[in-house]
Amino acid sequence: MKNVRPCIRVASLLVLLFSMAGCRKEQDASRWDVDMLVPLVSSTLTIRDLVADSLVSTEADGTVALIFRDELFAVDLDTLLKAPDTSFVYAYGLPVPGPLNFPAGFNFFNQADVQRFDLGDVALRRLVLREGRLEMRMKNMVASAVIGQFALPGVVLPSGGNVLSTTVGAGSPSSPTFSTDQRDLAGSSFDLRGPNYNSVNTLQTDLSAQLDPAGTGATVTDQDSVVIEARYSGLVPQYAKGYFGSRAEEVGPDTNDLGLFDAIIDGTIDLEDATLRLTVENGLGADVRIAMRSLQAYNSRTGSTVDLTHSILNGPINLNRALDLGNGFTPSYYQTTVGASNSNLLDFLECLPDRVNYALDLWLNPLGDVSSGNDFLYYESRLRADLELEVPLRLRAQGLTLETLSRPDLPGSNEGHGLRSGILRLFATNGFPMVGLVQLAIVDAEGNVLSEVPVQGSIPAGPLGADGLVHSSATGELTATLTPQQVDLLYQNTQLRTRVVLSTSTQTMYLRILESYALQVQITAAFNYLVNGDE
Amino acid sequence: MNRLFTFLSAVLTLGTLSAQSPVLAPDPVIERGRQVDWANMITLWGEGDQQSNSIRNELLADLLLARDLDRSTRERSWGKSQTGDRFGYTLSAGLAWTGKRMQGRFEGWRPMVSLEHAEVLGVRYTRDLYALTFFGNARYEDRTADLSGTAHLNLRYQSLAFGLVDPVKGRYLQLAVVKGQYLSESRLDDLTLFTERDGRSLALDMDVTYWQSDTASASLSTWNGLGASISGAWSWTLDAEPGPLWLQVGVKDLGFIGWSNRALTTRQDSAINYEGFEVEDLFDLDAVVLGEDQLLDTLGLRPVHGSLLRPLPFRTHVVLASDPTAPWQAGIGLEQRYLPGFTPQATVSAARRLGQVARVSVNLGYGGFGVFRAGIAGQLRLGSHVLADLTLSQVPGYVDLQQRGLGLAIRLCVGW
Repeated sequence: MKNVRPCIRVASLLVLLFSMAGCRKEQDASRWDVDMLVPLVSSTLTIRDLVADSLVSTEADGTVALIFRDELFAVDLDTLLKAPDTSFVYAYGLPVPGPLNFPAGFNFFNQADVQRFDLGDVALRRLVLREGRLEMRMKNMVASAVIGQFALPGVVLPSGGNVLSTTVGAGSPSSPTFSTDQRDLAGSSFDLRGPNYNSVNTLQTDLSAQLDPAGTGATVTDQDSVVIEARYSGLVPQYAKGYFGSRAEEVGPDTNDLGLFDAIIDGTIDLEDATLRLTVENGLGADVRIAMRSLQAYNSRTGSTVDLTHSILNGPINLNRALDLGNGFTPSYYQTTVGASNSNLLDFLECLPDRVNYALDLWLNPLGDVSSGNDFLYYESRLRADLELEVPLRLRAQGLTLETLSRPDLPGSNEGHGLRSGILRLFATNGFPMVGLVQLAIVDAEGNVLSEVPVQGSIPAGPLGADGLVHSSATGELTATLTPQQVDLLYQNTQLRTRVVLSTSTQTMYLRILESYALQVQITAAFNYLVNGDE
Repeated sequence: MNRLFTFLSAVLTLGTLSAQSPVLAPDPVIERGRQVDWANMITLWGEGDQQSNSIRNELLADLLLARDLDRSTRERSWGKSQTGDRFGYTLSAGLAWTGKRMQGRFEGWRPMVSLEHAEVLGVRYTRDLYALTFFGNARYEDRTADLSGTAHLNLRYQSLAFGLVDPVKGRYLQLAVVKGQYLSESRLDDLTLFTERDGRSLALDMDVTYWQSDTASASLSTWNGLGASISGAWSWTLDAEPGPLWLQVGVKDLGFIGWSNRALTTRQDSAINYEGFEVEDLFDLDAVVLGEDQLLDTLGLRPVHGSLLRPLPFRTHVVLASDPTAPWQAGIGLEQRYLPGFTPQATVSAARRLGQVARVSVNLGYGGFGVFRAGIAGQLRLGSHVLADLTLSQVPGYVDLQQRGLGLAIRLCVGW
């Protein structure tokens, strides 16, 4: 018996060993945890990394200035001149009961006419089209093919002629026939002075209809008719001349986004100086008067508003007409500068607006037809106002908070991820005269905080020299610990909210931000990772 | 990252079963049928053997069953040697036909055709490599992990061999056409990793080469390479007292495989100081992708396609055994394989024939991928047409999962 036991034991183990391969595996691969220590990312931040390059300029002394340029408002062509789609209908019917026999080639309809475009109080004498179509539609109840001709003596088509023709097949009162012909009017020039050159918005037309010369003629009664319809559509002027009327337009109230302080969600800023240049361009060959009713800074996050106070809001701005060069124009300009000394511009900016509200009144030809019908416009003519805001970064800041939301591309998924917990370390070498605090939180899609990630430490400000400038950097270390629960949260369609709270190192003087200032940052991670946990 | 760990762990620990054959001369009593009586024989065999000087069977069992590896299990398999830790396995299975004895010039020789599948893994690794794989680099903070000298070869291939065998004297010669199924081979001539305090930088100094067969497929039916090999053994009978001695010298699978032009070679000789991905906007972490491609780019590890010619992991041996006609027999053998981590392996066998039908032996060995090993083997004639061999190497491994190494070989020969 003593000899048997070891044999049985070995045999049992062999069976166990061979059956291992047949055992049901709990998962695809073994898992084990490892402790990793790795550098994640590094970056060097200058002011150009924090603000778009297009918004940054450097002054002669190296101070960075934010330059924001945007269009405050623009009045486009549609507002000034609308050329509506217009149809003219010409009909012919036999004036006697008939029947009358017309031979082939008989010209049974001739009509000279003038048509007037309805352009409101705009009185045009000449119109060159950039776009447009003329559609000629014929309806025929005569028992012969009919050739219709549509001549426009006051028009020069791009092809050089001014006659359009179309042929429609034989029809009857009970079964009329139709034909449609279309012409592209782009580049066409219209003389709208009428046949006697003393009218406006008026176009002369000559129409005729002839039985097909190759046909057999037709017997016509008063029940038979021919209808010609001319339809102008999609008219876009390239050039217009005349009198555009004397009228007033209200522009706004409206809002423009101001992308200068978008990333700032909290804090106060105290600026030493700022300049706002308002430029109005008049590309119209007509006098314009503008009265600014309001220009208001609006911080949508706090709801605070600041109305700009400046002389431009007290009286009208008169804009001279543009100069017609024959094949183009020279606009006229009006420019005014709003500064810290002649307005409340600093208060306007220090509310950290993300929008600018405005409203204004605009008069066209406020003095009437002083050009004797020689107003003009080109397709490119605009009436627009541009803002240029220049903010030199000489400032004091307190608790200026920048916020970003990110969704780091972590390995694994919510169902399985190897990343379990860890410590993030941020090493900063700061050349800015600003102290920085970092706040981390995990938020849901609506921005609700699900978990705060405590951050130990701060980014020290670069030391100030006697000249108020930073000549060397300061180093600091921040540590954030992510618990396993917080790591799990990061995989649940959440975002990592990073807030950086900046304050100038002194509040007793304005500090200059130089382009040469930089913040070097490196983030490392010490984390516990479950190998094969991402499967 | 998972792939990296899986690869490293596979290199270190993959393995199953296998064998340490007794070093004895062919027994003319037990094997009479095979040596003399039978005109034809069909032989079927399978063997597997895994050895290590540090990795314990419990770790392999957990990996095999995809169970989570607890820290104490991993620590028990952590080798003591910084440069000399080893692991490896061999797996093979085959079928052979042996014909009747020839006459004339080749009297005593029999024709033979065989088909064999073989898979081998040999790994030589450092203690630091094991630690990085199973514990991470955090414990190397402000220290250097030295992975230099690590190498591995993992090969799967099939051979169709033709040759002659003399079962009486234990001699044979065969030529084989070799089909290459899978190759994974690395050589880390120089690889150190310094982890700066707080993980502020990883300094990698490396001179590494990695070869791999076409990654499109590695299934049994895939032809990723073609080669040839020669195997053979020769023996002599030496006069001695109290009885003659039998000396055999042999080599197996001496040859090469030419791998297709879709094979990959990755070679990197450089020093890298990695301080994290450089990002334009630190606050826009959406754009930071920590993927395998980015890691490979950072390390500059990009493979080049091209054909390869790599040697087969051949094996040489020499055996000196006592008179096989005696009831008590003994032998001593020395074996070496062309595999990373394999050191010369010495084996001593002592056997006793039991009547006319069986021979049992005890085998003690040292070397190879492991250290001391103790195994048993048995040879049994079943009737007049069947001969069976069973070898268990490293018997303690069957009874104690904390032992290192395990092996099994079975051979069945049917003759008529």
